[in-house]
Amino acid sequence: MPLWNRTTTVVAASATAGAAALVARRLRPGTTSPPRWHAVTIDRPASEVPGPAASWPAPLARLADDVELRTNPAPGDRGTEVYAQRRADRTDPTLDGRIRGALRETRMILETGEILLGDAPSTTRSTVTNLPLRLALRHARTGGRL
Amino acid sequence: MRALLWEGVNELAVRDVPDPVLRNDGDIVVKVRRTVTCGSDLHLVGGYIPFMRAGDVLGHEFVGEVVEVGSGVRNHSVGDRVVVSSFIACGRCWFCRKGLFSACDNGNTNPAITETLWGFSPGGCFGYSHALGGNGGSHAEYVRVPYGDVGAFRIPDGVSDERALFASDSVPTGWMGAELGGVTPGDVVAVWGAGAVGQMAARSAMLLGAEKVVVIDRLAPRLQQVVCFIGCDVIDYSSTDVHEALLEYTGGRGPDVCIEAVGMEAHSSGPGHLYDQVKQQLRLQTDRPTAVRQAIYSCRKGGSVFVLGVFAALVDKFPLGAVMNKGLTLRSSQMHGQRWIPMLLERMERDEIVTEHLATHVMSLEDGPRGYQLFKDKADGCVRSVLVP
Repeated sequence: MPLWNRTTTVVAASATAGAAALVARRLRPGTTSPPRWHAVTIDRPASEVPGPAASWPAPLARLADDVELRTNPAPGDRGTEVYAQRRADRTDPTLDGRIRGALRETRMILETGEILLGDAPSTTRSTVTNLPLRLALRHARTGGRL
Repeated sequence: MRALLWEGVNELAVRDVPDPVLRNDGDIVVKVRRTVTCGSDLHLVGGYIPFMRAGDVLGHEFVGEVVEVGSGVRNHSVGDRVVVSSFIACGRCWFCRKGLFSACDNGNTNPAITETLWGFSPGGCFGYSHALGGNGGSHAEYVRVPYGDVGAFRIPDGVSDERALFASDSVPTGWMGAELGGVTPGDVVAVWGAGAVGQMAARSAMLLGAEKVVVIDRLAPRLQQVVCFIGCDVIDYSSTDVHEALLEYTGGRGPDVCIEAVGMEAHSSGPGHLYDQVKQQLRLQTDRPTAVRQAIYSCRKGGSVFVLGVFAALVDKFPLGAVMNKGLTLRSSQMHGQRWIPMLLERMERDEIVTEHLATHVMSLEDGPRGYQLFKDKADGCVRSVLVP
């Protein structure tokens, strides 16, 4: 059902696709840059988080051979800081994204006991105008600033 | 099941979609009994928040009955009548522990989008675009509720569906503006916007002890509701200079607390509105902050401004000089419903908060597109369209 005039709709639709495209571009895995530490703070005391990478929950344990890992007690009552970075000899450009995703999922597991899943089955359908958004959503867990 | 879908910019339709299913141990599935349009939905419908996909189910403010529970759910059983917080929060992260539920670290399954836009990701929200998780909305026969123990609350027997519905979002949002805005006994409070959230902000300020409360809008039916149901003063900005009226209302001091409950599609009566609208349509700014500017300008020295309205990204001509030189406290947030809903349901049971009058138009889910049209146009005195699946 049309709610507003056509001109407004066309302008809004174009802007929508443009904005989503910008985000998609920002989230796309890039070329390999020098390793840097990705970090999350988990709201659990240091005594409740694992030691070596292999003993962490599965998302991080799967990357045990590819990452360096360190932890710090967070200031105040904020829990434990967990840092991960790819080893210097790893050149896979998707690895940083997978580290970000693994850190987020590890935090979910240690704080809530499970990884929150999106709704399924989906009610959405693919259109030309939502192509940029679909591209952005491919990296919705692995992209970002983490 | 039937659901009201976003089909494209300014296009809505009711269609058949798959039923939601339990995905996590903490999930519940709720059969929706009442669901209501919200002003913030209009930003999605109009494409101002560009993260919707064709087929997304709208709606985030609702009550219903629990029909399925995950294996990890402890607080709810099938048959419970519940109101659900519009924001999805885990209840276990640092932010939730501090009562900042809408800032939950774990409630948004698509965190990278908002991290990229805003630096960090807030929690998830029902029916509020893929930037906030892509969760199915409540304008449907059924909705999946993640973290059901945290976000769903049993409705006391003495509170009707019609009243409890607004405890899902409008009432806690309004309460947040008054409480986190720092309202204390004896204060003078001004609220911009006489929609459901503005009315509830005004009522909350009164309950927190404000001595004088005034609500600002241009829509006569809404201002009449404020007078009749909230019991405070009003200013019609279409016929009155707001700043002058507030000076007179406060003995020349300005309001102690100013609560903005309008959002990114604000109107005004002056040439500034045309300026903002042109810039927004050309995407030179994403949001129209007219009411925020006015609240900052009119607030007393050392006062507090709380932004309740939803904003997406960038605004133009933000009066930072007034904020700094008057020593204002500026706060804002998405809604931490889990923090206040139990208390607000108790107040509803004691008739301290009434909301039934907000539901000016009640209709079937099938009439949802018409409900949004009425709501968008503010036609026929529409304050909120309530849909009954």
